[in-house]
Amino acid sequence: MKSNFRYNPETCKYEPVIVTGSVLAKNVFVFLGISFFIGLCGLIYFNSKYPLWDETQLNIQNQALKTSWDILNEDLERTSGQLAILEQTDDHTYRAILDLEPLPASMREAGVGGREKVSALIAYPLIRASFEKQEKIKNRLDIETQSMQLLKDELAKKEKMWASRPAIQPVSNKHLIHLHTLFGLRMHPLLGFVRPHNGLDFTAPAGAPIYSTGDGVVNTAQYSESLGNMVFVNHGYGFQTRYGHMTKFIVSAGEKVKRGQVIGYVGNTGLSVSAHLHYEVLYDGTYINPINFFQRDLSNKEYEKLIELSGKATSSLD
Amino acid sequence: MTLKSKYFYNQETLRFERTGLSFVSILFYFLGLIFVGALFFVGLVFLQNHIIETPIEKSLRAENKAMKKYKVELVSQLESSKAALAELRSKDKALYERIFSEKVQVNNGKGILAQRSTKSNKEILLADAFSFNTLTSALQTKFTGLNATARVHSNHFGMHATVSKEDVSWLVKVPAFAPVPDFDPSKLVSGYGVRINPFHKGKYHHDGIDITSPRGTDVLAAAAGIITVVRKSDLQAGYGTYVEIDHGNGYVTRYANLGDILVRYGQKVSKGQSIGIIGISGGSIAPHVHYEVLKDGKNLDPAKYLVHGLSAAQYEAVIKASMKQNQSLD
Repeated sequence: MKSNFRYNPETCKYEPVIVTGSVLAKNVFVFLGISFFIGLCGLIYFNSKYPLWDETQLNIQNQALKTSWDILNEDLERTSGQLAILEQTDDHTYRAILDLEPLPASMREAGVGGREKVSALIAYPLIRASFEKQEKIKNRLDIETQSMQLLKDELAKKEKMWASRPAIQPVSNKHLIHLHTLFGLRMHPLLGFVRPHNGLDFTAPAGAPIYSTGDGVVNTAQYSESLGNMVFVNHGYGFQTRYGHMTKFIVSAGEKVKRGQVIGYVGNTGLSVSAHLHYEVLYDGTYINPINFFQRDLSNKEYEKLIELSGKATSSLD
Repeated sequence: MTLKSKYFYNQETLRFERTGLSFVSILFYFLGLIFVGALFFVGLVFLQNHIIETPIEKSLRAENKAMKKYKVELVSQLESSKAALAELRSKDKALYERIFSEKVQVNNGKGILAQRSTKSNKEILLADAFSFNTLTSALQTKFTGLNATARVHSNHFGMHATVSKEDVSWLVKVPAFAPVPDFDPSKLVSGYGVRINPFHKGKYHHDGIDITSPRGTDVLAAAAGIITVVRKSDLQAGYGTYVEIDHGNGYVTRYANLGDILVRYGQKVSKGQSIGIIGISGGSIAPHVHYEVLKDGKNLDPAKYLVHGLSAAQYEAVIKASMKQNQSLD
């Protein structure tokens, strides 16, 4: 190691330079100061030129999350759209057919009961908006579920009503010989004077089965002077049907009958000249021409299918 | 101090000689500065990224955290909503089948959503570019052919048009107007032909079409004409309260199961005039109008006459709706 010397003009001698601690420290400090300055300049330049690395990372993550939220939002919109179609059918098809008022949109969105809202606690508008959407969908789903239940119940009620209405011919075309479509005033063949004929006569061989024309409860099954062996069926909803001149009836008062159930057999009892069924339909106590309560063009096959079908228990909506 | 001259003892010349500032030593000094400076830079960057948190970073970090956290929650909520929706759909399907006694095809049934194809059209197209090209060229050929045919026939049509111009007065007598306001295909719930009777579920011939609308909606005349039948009835069967209009030229329309009638016998009505109100009279299970079109006393399919104000697509939808072998409202 070569030692340095300095020329001292006072002593006029070359003196070795003794590096003291303070001088060394000063040198090191200057060196570090300059290099720190360089580093700092580099950083400032770097920052002005490129975005902050960790901020960039966060931004990338943020964008990715936002995209996934966009997808979620689309999913929400789609779900909402699909629900809207159901609501549309509910309001405009089912409710129109079941004779109910459509539900207003405000009611659909209001939901059921007070639910704590997550959305109120969220500070971020985008997230909050999505949650609000989801809450609306949830409310609409609840309402629609209730509505469906209501429609189901209403339909079940109506179905009972439809099943109760007299709607078929009481005697199969297979057995029917002649249908006397006369309804109203006529000369009674046995009594010999004019009296109203309040039903229709189905001429058929004695012993041909007589079917109940709708669901109901038998309220009378007995013998009478004029109608012979007769059965009265109360169908509810204002309807009653009466069947007369049977050979015999096979139901008793209070018994529940289904449409298509055999209640007796064609006969010639009571005031009757030949084997036939006398069939009456009453609505709110007034006689109505039964011709209105069955389809005459129904084919035998269809009719038999009906009779067969009505023997089975009706399936429930569930 | 560094500027002060330094000397070193040269052992060969045995003299103190001035130390020259060598280029190499200056270079080393600067390289040293840059190296340490670079170390400082790295240190500062590290400090900046991992220790110091700017407000922007802070908010981003919080937002990301919130998005992650709430995403999980929203996804689970959405999933449960979807499950509920799926359940509703199956209920809807059951209800629809129950009301119309008609099996719903999942893909194009009314009230049932068309199942979304998982692939988008674009994906399908891109999946097999070759077959797509073949298909388009085939379609192109077909189109050219059709175009040629159309051109040949257009003369023919033109001829018909001139012939028809001579007597089009009968056209205005065709009952083309839908009998309810704002008619759309979804309102036609049962068509003409063999349908299921709602009461006994047996098949019978349904002579008209059933158009549903809420109670109280106006029923409109399908074309100008004279009222020939006004029947009010509270009989719980058949047509119930109904109106018939004679439009001339053998066309008669019948509007049955009405709630009330707004015209009298012999009255002249214009096209689209209110003649009654939707109700549920007669043998009817729902508020609707049972609409029949007769020509020379014979029943025709009224759906084919519902042309007024409908686009081709809507007309097609009407015909499609009327073809469904479902249950009528009677």
